[in-house]
Amino acid sequence: MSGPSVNSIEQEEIDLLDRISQGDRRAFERLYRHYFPRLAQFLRRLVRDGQLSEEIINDTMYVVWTKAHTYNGQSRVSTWIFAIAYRQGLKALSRVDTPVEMDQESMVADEFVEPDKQLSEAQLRRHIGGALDRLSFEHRTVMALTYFHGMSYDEIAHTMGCSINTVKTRMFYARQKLKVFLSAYA
Amino acid sequence: MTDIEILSHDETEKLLPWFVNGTLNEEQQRAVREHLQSCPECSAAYSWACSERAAIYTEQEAVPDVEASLARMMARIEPRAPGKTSSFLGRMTSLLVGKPWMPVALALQAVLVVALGLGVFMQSHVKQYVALSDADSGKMKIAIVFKPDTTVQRMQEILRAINANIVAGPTVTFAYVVEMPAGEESSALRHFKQAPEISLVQSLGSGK
Repeated sequence: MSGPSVNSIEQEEIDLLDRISQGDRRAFERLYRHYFPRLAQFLRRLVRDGQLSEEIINDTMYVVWTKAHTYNGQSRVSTWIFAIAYRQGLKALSRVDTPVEMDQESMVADEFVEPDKQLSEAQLRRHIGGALDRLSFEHRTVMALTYFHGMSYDEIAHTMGCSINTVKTRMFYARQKLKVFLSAYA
Repeated sequence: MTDIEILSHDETEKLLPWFVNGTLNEEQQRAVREHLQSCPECSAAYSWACSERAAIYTEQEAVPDVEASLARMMARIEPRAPGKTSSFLGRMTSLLVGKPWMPVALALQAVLVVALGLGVFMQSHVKQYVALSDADSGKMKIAIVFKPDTTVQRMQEILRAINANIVAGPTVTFAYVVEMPAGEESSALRHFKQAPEISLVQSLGSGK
């Protein structure tokens, strides 16, 4: 995780943030282009709405533009930006009156089935989108950050502003629920 | 190898997603691997976690056009410099962000920029002039991106053909925001899309 190329990318991003804090638009464009695909993938998985996710990307990057000087190096630049995106996503969903589902972790245990015994990998890939749609915002976030963006649980805790134990618990129940939802297709 | 941490069944299962994505530390990885060798149930759960990751990783999500979004973004932030002493126009912009009347004020700002800069940029070929009264909210805005090798003369010809006014830009990606009466938007979009010198056209609406 800490090879020289990762360090140099991180250093470049820190330099870009420093230039952005001084109003360097060229640096901002460079960072924007670099993060746009990652934020698009992240936010689309969270809000399940292409147009809304684009708006949230620009809300996120606007915060980066105005708050670059507040980055204090305590986390990776990517974690800092994803944390902003997560908060902007929550705000945007509340603005459009899309209910932000709460964790309902207790409901899972009774319904628990094991579709992995019956569901093929091809079926899983075909139905994963529909199953993710039915997860709560928090559960989708943990799954996307872990499986798609390859974040560690402490980075996810930082991004979502919660404890490491909460991240692990959310992931545990997200996976249980996913199995329940996928069992409908088995 | 004798001091490997012993993980319980539940602990192992909770760590599996991060074992799969390779972000556990070395000690944790060794402990999970050790547990998997002696626990068929966790071994099956591990296979399932790999399938989950593969399914989510390969779920196809179309990535929107970065250039169009960037053009909108740059129109939104310019010409402000955060964290430093900013210009009067910049301070006005920051005060207006998030306000419903921001588009009109931004249009006024853009017109001021045009009044100062358009004469140099467009030299003396452009016959129309932009006054404050022109920045009414009934106008439509379109973001366009010229290819880098487009000459100034050709840009002028393309814009003059439909009486389009530049109200913001260029960004470093050669993006401009142009403005025109609402009724002429569709013909303007067609005109820009047909111009081989323009690599991207995006309607920004009325900005209301």
